[in-house]
Amino acid sequence: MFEIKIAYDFDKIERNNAKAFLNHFELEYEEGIDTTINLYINSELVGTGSKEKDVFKCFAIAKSIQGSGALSKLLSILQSECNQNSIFHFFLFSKIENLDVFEKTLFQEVAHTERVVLFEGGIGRIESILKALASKLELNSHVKRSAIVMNCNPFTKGHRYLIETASQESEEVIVFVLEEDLSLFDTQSRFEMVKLGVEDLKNVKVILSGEYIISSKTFPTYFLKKNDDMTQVYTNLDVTIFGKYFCEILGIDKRYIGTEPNCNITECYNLSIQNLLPQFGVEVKVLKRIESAEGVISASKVREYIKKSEYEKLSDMLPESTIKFLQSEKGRRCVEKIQKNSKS
Amino acid sequence: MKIIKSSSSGSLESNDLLVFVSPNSGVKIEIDSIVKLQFEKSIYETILKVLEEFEVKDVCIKIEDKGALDFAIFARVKTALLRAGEEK
Repeated sequence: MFEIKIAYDFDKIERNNAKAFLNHFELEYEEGIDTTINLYINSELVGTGSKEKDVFKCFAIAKSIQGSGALSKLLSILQSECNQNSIFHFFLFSKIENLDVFEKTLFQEVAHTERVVLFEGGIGRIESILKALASKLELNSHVKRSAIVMNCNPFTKGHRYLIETASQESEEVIVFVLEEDLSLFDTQSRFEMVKLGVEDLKNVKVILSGEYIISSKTFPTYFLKKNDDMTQVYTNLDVTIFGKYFCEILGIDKRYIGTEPNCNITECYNLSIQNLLPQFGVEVKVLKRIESAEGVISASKVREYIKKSEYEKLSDMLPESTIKFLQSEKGRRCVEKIQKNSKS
Repeated sequence: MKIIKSSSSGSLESNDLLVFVSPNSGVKIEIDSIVKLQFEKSIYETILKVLEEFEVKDVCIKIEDKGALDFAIFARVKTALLRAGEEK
């Protein structure tokens, strides 16, 4: 029935067609898309759907053919495109109005807020992934623990202070280091810095955050530092997922956050945490950021000093362990990367 | 047959089904179907029959069924297993 065109990122014509088609529906063709599927009937474009790695997005189907299996067709093709790249677990964002449209396909709901829904499909469900994590960490189900989520780009005395306080006030602490590899310090380096920085705190477990905390799935704009009206939508979704799944499965009853004087997006995230987590029976502890001689300690300031090679200012903001790391071979590579990069 | 990686087969078209296979310990079968109420048991039995034929003991099978007939289910599951498995 349909004529199908599969467009990869170099196929400008099909991509522009999709873009124009989406505009009719007041939808945007997002950046970063690697595959677009267009459906034609008698060389008229009637449906489109795209994906970026494992996230499906930018769907639109002409009213006249809705209900004729066009969506299933699009999803089937995208799904097999994923499989060819060995991706068997995929995600989809949708407006809340379309909840039942996608629910009847290969997707299950992960969580929804007032405005958006996150679905996942294929092999792997959030519950089973977290349960596997809990048993891997050998978590004692009788212990209540605190959680901290941080990017640590790089690990500062401020991060250390937050973890140390939580460690003193709780039986156990889990530190989630953001796994998405989009920061100047790569994921492995950030993870290592945190591990080294809290080695002496026996009740602290440091792990990578996985796909469900501030990732390209739950909070795609975090790493773009793009602040628009979608920010609150994403932060609410992210926090809802945390409350609904992480807290229950991993036995978390407290979450620690630091105040955020500089970055609007993080500030917005903090607000969501304070608004939503108590509904899940989780206590939120807000700690004021500590200051050094150079003012409030923040990782972005540290990166600025590194960029300008003002190393003498760093010792005030970074713990011994991070300074040592920066002098290691891996650390020097990160420093070089920052100095070459235009953004801070 | 031993399942060593993830695979899939089929589609979401009407009268077809999408099968996902992945390694697991023990047999785990998840069925989602538009005719689940009427035919879940029969779909289940068809899957077990394929598993028996290939002597698969450890696998997770997930199915999104759009009303496929028995032989289609049989063929799709068989294909997914062959893509994911290693003959002993």
